[in-house]
Amino acid sequence: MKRVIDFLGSMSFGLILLLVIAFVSAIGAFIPQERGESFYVEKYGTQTAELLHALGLTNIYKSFYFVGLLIILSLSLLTCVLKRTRFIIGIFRMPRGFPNKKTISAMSERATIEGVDLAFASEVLRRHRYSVIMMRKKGGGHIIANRGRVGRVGSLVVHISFVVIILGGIIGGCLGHKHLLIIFEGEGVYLPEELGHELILYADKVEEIRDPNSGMIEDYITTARLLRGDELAVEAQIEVNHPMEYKGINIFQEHMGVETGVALFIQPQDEGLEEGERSPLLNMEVILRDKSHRIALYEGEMEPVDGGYELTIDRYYSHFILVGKAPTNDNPQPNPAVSYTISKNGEVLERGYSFKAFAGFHTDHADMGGDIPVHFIGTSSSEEAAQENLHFFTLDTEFPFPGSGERAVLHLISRDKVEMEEVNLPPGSSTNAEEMLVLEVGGEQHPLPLREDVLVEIDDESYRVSFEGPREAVFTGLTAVYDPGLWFFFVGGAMLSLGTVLVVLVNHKQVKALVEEKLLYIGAGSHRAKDLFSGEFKKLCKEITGGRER
Amino acid sequence: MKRRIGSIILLLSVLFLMFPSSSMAGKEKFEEDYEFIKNSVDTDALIAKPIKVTRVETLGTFAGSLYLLLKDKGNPKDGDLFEDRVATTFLIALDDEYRLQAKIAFLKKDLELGIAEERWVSYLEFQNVIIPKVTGKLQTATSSNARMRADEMAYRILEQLGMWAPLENWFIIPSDVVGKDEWFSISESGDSQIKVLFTQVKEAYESRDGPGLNKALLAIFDRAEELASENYPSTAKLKLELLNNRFPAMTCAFYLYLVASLLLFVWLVTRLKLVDRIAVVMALAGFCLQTWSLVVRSIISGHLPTTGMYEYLALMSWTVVLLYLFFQFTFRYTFLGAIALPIAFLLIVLASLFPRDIQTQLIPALQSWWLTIHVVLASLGEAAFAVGFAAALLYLIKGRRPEGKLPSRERLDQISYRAIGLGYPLFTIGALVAGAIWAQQAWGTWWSWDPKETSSLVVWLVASVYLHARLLRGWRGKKAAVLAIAIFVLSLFTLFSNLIFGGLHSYGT
Repeated sequence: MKRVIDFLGSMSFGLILLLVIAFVSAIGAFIPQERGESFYVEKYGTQTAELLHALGLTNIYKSFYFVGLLIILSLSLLTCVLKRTRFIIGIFRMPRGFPNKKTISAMSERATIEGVDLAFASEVLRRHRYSVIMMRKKGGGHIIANRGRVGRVGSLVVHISFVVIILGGIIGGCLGHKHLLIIFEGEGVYLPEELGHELILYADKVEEIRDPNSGMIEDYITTARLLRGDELAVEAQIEVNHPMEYKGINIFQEHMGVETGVALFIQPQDEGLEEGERSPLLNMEVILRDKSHRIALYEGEMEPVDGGYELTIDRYYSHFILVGKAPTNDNPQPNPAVSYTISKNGEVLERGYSFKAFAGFHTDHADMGGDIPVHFIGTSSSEEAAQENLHFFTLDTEFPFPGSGERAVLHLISRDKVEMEEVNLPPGSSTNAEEMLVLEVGGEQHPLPLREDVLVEIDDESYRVSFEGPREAVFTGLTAVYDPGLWFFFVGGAMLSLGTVLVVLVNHKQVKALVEEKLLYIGAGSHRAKDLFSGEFKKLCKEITGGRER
Repeated sequence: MKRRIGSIILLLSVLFLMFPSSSMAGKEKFEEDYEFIKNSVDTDALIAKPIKVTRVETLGTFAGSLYLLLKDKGNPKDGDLFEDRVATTFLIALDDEYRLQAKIAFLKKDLELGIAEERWVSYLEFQNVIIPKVTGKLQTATSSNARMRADEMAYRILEQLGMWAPLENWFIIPSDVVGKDEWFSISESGDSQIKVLFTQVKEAYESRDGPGLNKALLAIFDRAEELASENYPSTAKLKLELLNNRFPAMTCAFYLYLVASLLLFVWLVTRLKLVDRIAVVMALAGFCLQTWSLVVRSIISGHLPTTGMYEYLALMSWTVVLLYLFFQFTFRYTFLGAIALPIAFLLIVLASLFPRDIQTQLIPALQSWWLTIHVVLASLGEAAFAVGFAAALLYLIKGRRPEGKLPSRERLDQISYRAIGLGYPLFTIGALVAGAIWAQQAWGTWWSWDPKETSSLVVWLVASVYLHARLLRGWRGKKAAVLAIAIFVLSLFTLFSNLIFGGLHSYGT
């Protein structure tokens, strides 16, 4: 075991290892990494591509041998640190023994000066910012002086820092996650589960800032909200170089663009309320004296508005239609509406209907002369449900649609996945968008008339699919990164910077002296820059000698 | 985002289609027109007026760029260019015939557009061949990829179109809203006075009324200044840019380094007295000029010269001389200049191979202080490696000969070690740590094994081996010198690795 440790901590092994890692790293710069197989076949030919693949050279930095080399280097560095720590602690400790003529003569710089007072010599050394330990004894004494001991720590710090950085890289590589998120303006996506449970990121606004005259891009800005479940976790503007941060997850701005395609909206089929079922939360806007008041309430509830005015929702209809004069829920198409009452101090002022799809329209069906605008904005729960299940498909072919019978590739971009789906274009499909698309989900084909909604079963749930027509949507490309090794890098990087500065700027110098029979035997050495120190030592001796002359 | 490039290009193409497709005018007519403008227009006053092409610059700078474009491109005057750049620029701005025939646009090979090989084209070819193809592409592009490609083409062409713009399309009127860096052309302006002045310019040019032309042109620029708010650039900044154009400090520095290097070689061989001192003074003068050039560039661009290959190579050349002068004035290592100064002027030569246009608007990822720290420290580190390389090379050149101006081999060995020792922390903090922090901030990953990152790591590992081998294994002399040379050669390779392999650092090209 001792032999293994000695071998791991040996300088020769360490240096060879560094050169081997440098060589292997360089191979990765010459051979493009992590490309598709066809890339290598095209570039190098089939046989070479296979060989590169077999040797792991196409993904060299994640190959077992490269990771193995880094682990061995870490062990080597740690062994080296352990071996050197004892020596360096010794430098900081009180010396166990004092110098004698033999130890002094073994030092790289040495001199003998006649008739020098020990106290004066130590004073000179202190003046030169040495930390001096002096011990008098009969007929003389000893001096041990050190300067720049902290420089010795520098090399230890550098060695440890490299291990910390490698550790950070391995932790980040094993436990970290990086995901590209494509979010269309005004929409949101679920962050992948490995980044956190029920995290939804909304891109409320997507802006590409350009210099008006040169057309050069100044910045990409995404105004985003991150929600954990229903609660707002962070709200921020994500810009290049200014990521959004939330509990170790960083969301970076990558790029943005415009996607042209076919938009299909899929939302759960709203079957209307069952008997005794509570309505969803109804979001209403009441305008009193040109001032807007937002109120959320359930069917059958009354809420105060302002100045004694009250709003009551008498009935909620998911599929409103008038049959004769009676409102019913029998409309085959969704048509959310409410019937409401406005009262003041208990006196009914107005009874009316308000429709989600017709914001500016409200009726006073009781003909009470009411003129208070009441808008039904929508239902909270159904909106959320719709958002959760909203999918945006883009047809990756040029408009007009390809001819009938062809297969077109759709990009399916949903809240939690980005994948490809294939769609069969039915016979007779043409450019006028009057025909049908066939939506293929899980092997099942659903004819989709382009002017009507259809019901589609996806995972045993019933969904309403509506074709929104060709759409040009602005999207933002964000990268969500969870890197538990990041702080290892920050700490390691700071240590590496500090360590290299200490190693270079602070040179450990040691002076040992012995006074015996009126003779000062002085020896010195420095860790680095020995040639410069030689001159410095001569000056030091001259100063000490000068004291004798005085 | 909302402003579609496609619509801009269509608008511009329509605007240009309105030009008269005139008959080809002859050389004599252009000479006559040029002489008239040259004799009429007060070029000294107009040269300092600001316009905005891709950035706010003086008319003099714009005229210089245009001159370079016109030079030797088989232009209407057969390569024999008119001397006065400002007058030539106004000839293009005012004379439709000259403008239509001037080969200004450089077209890269683009088979989709039917451009089999790169070439310079005139507006006429542009109008009749290229624009219809691009607008056709824009109109028919439906998939996102096709649109992106068409937009890219449109941008490239939009840049070129600015050069052909008649005077009324020059962006000379800054926004009157404080802090809004938006400039308008005469045709975009709603100011009636400007419109009247522009009419006067056209009439004066057509009727050959020299004083009238000069008066109206100056009045247009004065009116633009009146309409501007604080966005109008200061006179000091405009003068600085003019001075920068007139006085090529970087080129002068290059010649001074070149001569200083030659003198140092002469000194090393002949031991002539005073030659070394003259060489050092010349190197110092070159350094001052290069400092001036980089400072002026920084003031004009609004950021340190740390973006793009031209700026990086020029900065590295400067840091090599800085460190050489440091060693010179601290330790009297004059001989180092014989290698360090040639490295400096070769770096300037390499820099000159890259576009040197000043960019005031950086791409978003480059707008970070970490980038500045990364580039400046990495450059200083590499410069120190260059000095280490110089000493190591001199060590090998000296061989076992005791004579000569070169110091002892031991001293050269020490100098090389000291320089690399100085470069090591600078390179560590700059190239690796600050670079990784910036990468984390910009790309979300502190290490991506990008070719430039990897080659920097290789340099660092080899430098670590060098320092360990020296300190703990006692490597000296030839072995250490070879390793010191390897460090610098590898760092040169790092410098150009983005050109060879591409990767995340490719914007630098």
